[in-house]
Amino acid sequence: MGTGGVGKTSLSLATAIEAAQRGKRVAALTVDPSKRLTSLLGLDADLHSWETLQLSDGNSLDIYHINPSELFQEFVKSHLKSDLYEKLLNSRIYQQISTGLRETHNFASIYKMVQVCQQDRYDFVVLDTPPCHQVVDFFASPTRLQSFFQGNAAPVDDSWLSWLQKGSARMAEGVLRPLVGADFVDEMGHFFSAITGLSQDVQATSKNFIELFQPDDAQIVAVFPPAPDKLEELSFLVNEISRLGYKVDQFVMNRAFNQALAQSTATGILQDSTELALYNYFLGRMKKSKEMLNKVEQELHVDKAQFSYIPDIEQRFETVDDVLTFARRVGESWTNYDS
Amino acid sequence: MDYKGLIFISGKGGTGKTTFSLALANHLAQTGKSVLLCELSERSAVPAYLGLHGYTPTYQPQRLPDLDFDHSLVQGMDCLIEYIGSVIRAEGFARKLFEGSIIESLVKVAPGLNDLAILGKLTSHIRGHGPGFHYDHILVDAPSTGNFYSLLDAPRRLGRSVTRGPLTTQSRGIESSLQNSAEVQFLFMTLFEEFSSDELEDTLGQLGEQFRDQMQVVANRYIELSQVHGTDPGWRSFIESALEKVHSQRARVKDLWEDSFYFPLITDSLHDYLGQQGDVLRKL
Repeated sequence: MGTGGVGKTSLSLATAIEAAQRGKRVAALTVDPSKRLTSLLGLDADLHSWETLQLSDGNSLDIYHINPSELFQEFVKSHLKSDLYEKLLNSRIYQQISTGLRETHNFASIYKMVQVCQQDRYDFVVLDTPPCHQVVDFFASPTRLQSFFQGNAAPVDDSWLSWLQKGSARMAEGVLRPLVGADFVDEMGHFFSAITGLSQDVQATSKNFIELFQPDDAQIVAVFPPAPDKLEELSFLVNEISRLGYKVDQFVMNRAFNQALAQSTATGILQDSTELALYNYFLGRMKKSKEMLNKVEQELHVDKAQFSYIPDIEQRFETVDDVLTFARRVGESWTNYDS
Repeated sequence: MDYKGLIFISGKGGTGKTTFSLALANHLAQTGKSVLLCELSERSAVPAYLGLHGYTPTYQPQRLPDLDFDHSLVQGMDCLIEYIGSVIRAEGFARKLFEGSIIESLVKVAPGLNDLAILGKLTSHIRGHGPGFHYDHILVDAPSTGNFYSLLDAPRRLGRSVTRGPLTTQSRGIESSLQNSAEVQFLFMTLFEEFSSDELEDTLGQLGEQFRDQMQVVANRYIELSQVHGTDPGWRSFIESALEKVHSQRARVKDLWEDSFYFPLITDSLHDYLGQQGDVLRKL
């Protein structure tokens, strides 16, 4: 997980590749990776299926590209009796929900993650989470889905109409009908009565996901940029995650510093104020990133052993080898933080 | 640059949407216009960006300390309560309804109702319906690309869930007001980086057709340096590679979208930058 635009997908694929090169059986689940990255690796990002990435050293890893709407559809189909499934398919609300709603997207990832982990086929499963604040939604969604189906608030256990006849509900409906229209309220009714059948399986999947996060079994890795103004965002993420009962195990600062810049001096720059401002800016950012590490350590009570960083690489991902080089650096950074 | 009344600023995460939104709001306010900057995320980033302590963003617009424009944190639930209140003319009653968990869970599962409420509020002054914001310019620090699609898509999706009734009428009205090119403008942020340009290409492919006349690209962190004087090999290699990226991606962005602009890399603090005068964008 991490703040936006920080290289989560690259980092998770690199981590997966590195683990595969160490001989582990690896599965990587990605959501919406960039086309460049996938085409570089010779993958077809549009596929809603498994692909095997063959590495030159003879090792390989399995990559699954999550297509949330198809995956949600698959879940619904395999967990619902056929008459209810037909009913649900005909609900226009379901048609919109299954393709557009964030909650269903989150659930699709959770469902796949649980499925893969239960198979016991892999030593190592890497999941790329949605960016930024949505990651909080992501980790909250198992509990939220559970309480939605358990809670008295949701008109699910009951038929929609009898729910509407209760006192406060009738009041709500009195407002809802003129506001959204009788058709919409009716559509909601069809939708609710159809998804009632999913309740137990959604709850079981959510429960299994929460159980995956046992201290020795799973790790949450937070990736962040060397930008001090993102500190607050990071601390918000970490606090929210822990409020939900999860724990961030590792912190990785990506593009932490540029080796060439780190060793440079301002020789010859003084005559040009624009160039000097740029030099001071880039160097200042690197210094600030160190301060940021200290602040994360103090403010979020993070142990030094939990930190890693990955240097900025000037070279771009133009060949598979570039990705492998990046993977190697990621591997090094996991083990050599102190140096 | 010709700025419209309602400006959405979107782009991939980390492209500088918030910084740019603040700079643009500040510039428009300097020209004497009344300006509102809206954030749609659950948590406001503005106080941290401006180093403001003791400022709590609210739905009700507030003047930002030491600046000449207003700021609002726009959440779907607030928009809905206000809207329902205006329809049934009793906001207190509407608020009471939302205190009950029933209606809250209903809104959570009703697909896109939150998004629709937000767009309804933002376009209210254009449609002349419901309680709106009244400013010369409303700037929206919008969600990053993927979520921005679902936000913009909410009226169409809801319009299809039901074929008649007030919800359908509102959805259609909101959908068509977003396509009003005299009133609404979309600015997409990108960086001078290979990955960002790839992402931009995807975005333009998805939305370019629909909003052709309303869309501009803003390439952020442009480095203006005509000659490198520094002799240190480390610095030269760093800055030359950065400049090379700027030049190659500049050509690519222009190729992808003719109507493109750039926003400079801010080497001062944001606070100092906001003290300067003049348009924040230049034609790429």
